[in-house]
Amino acid sequence: MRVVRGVAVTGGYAMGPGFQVEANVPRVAQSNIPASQVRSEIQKFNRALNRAKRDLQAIRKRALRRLEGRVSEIFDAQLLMLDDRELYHHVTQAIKSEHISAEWAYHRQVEVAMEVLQKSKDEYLRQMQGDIGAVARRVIQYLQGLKQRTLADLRIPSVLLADQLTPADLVQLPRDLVLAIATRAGSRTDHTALVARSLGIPAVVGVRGDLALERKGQRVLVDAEHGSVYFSPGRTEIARYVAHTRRTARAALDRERLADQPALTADGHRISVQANLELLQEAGFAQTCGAEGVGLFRTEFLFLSGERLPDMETQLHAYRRLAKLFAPRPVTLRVYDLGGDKLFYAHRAEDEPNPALGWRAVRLLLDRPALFRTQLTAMYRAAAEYGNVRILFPMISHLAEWRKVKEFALSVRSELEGEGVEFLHDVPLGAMIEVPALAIEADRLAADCAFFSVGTNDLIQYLLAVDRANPLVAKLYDGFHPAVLKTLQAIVKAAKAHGRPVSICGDLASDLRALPLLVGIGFDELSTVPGAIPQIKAVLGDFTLPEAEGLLKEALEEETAHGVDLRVRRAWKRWSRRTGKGDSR
Amino acid sequence: MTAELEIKVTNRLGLHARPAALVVRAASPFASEVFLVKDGVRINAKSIMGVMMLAAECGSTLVIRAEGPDASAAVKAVAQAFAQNFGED
Repeated sequence: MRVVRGVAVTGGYAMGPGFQVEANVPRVAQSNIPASQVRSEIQKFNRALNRAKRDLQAIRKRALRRLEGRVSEIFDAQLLMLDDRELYHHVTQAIKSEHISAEWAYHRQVEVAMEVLQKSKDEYLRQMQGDIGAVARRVIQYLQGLKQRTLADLRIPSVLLADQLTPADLVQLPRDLVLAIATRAGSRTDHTALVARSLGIPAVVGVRGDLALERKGQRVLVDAEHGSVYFSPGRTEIARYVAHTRRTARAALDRERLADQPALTADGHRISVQANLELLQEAGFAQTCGAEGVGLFRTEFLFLSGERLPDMETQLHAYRRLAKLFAPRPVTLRVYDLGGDKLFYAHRAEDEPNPALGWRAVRLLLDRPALFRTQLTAMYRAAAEYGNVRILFPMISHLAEWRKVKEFALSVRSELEGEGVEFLHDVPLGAMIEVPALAIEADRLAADCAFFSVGTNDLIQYLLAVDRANPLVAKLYDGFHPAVLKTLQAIVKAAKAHGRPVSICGDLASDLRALPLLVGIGFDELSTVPGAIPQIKAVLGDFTLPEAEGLLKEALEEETAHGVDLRVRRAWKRWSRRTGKGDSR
Repeated sequence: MTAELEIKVTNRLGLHARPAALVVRAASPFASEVFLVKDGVRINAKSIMGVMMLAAECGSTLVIRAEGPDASAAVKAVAQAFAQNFGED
């Protein structure tokens, strides 16, 4: 056995035959051409550019289907490079005046740019070298009449080993043939890593050491949790891999078994269990887990690198895809919750002393109407086709602010009326309840608001005045605090009085212990991380609605979170004795 | 006709690949020649290689200059690309 180490960028394990990807790097040397050949040399150059452009357009199209918008933008800059008139001018001038071959002229010109980028202090610009190199290689291969590296020889699922793999390589390959990748080049943040993560390919990059196979088809194990690559792995490594695979498989079986089942209490009271999503790529997994819709799509994660905000088209594309995937089930799009702990908004003027209480979410959006308008336009338009989109506004802290937000959304809608584009008129607009002041106003809010979604993480933090990220006080943060339960109860009561659906997202919703309390309070919808959905469905049937309501009543008589906790534990013990499952918590 | 405008690159990360593509797209439709000038170095704003090589870093000052029939519109469009995608929307 031989082991080499690198940087793990994706997580996961994979094992299979190794497949060596030949770099096929063209060699370019100075070469001259006779004057008579100048014209045909330029024609050859044009043809090579056009062919490379056709390739990249096809790759980009494929990327758009397989990756989200931000990731596929990698190829936009590459395409512009093939259209660069300045570069074209320099190359053709050199062919004409110096009588040199197109590949030498092109290579020389590209090298100049690469050198400048190499020296840049900006990491992104240095990474662009890889992209420029990939485009240049493609053009030069066409100029030399070399075969493009299509990896066409890859026929069986394999572990790919290479000096370097480009985003284009990964996008072009059928996903099921790539078990894992290990490369010598690359870093955690470069474009290849980004695409690997997007496609869920276990990857170890920046490997120091030899990645060459000792023989064809040698077995390779990639541990993308710890960044190790084993050639002919030993018994211990294989055992670890098998255990991991078994765990993953068992979880998958559970998911499958429960995915299509509705979430019902023992007496048949139905709860809708939905998913919290951050990326489009998670949508498939959420469906396998049996998500009955998206209770919360955190749109601020649409911009991966925080360079700039996605434009209307990019957003529209993403929201539409999500709506289509889950139709007719609801998809709740939350407008950007920027600021606070999510510093994706790279253009913030300065850091705030207390971001949790600062300029964030709708506060920021109302101050940046252009940004807000763009996002709402995309949401209204995305709702047109399937009618299952809802819009959720976070961090509302008073009634007047809610009215302002709603008025703004309706003004965006009226602007759309004049534009002749398709949009849905009656998109439900809901408020996220996470500021205690709004919980107190819940009754008046419910009269004017299509649905509520309770964000427990912030609500608990503000209600108990505890920063749970601060280890000195974290133990004071407790969702079982009777005041938290009473607040949740008041919110649900207000919503029901006006016939509004109310859902709960936040970590409390994925806490299985809390489940009977939340059901007792009367939540119709729970929205959780996808992985928690099968378990919620599995244990919901252990108790009845009256039992949950009874437990809540008892819990509310307690003075401390600890007292609530004891009662909840006792109830679970009773129920699990009855079901004979053993304590599932 | 010549038009000119001085701007500051406010993006924390400076001017790089994807934003560079936006500048090129904003400049390209115009008949005028459009340049970015920084520290005396002038590059063609319609060339992605040029814009990337300018490698402007955050806080640096650039001049957008256009020469041609639609010069002022071109300067405006490029400035807007900077403002929209580098500054606050």
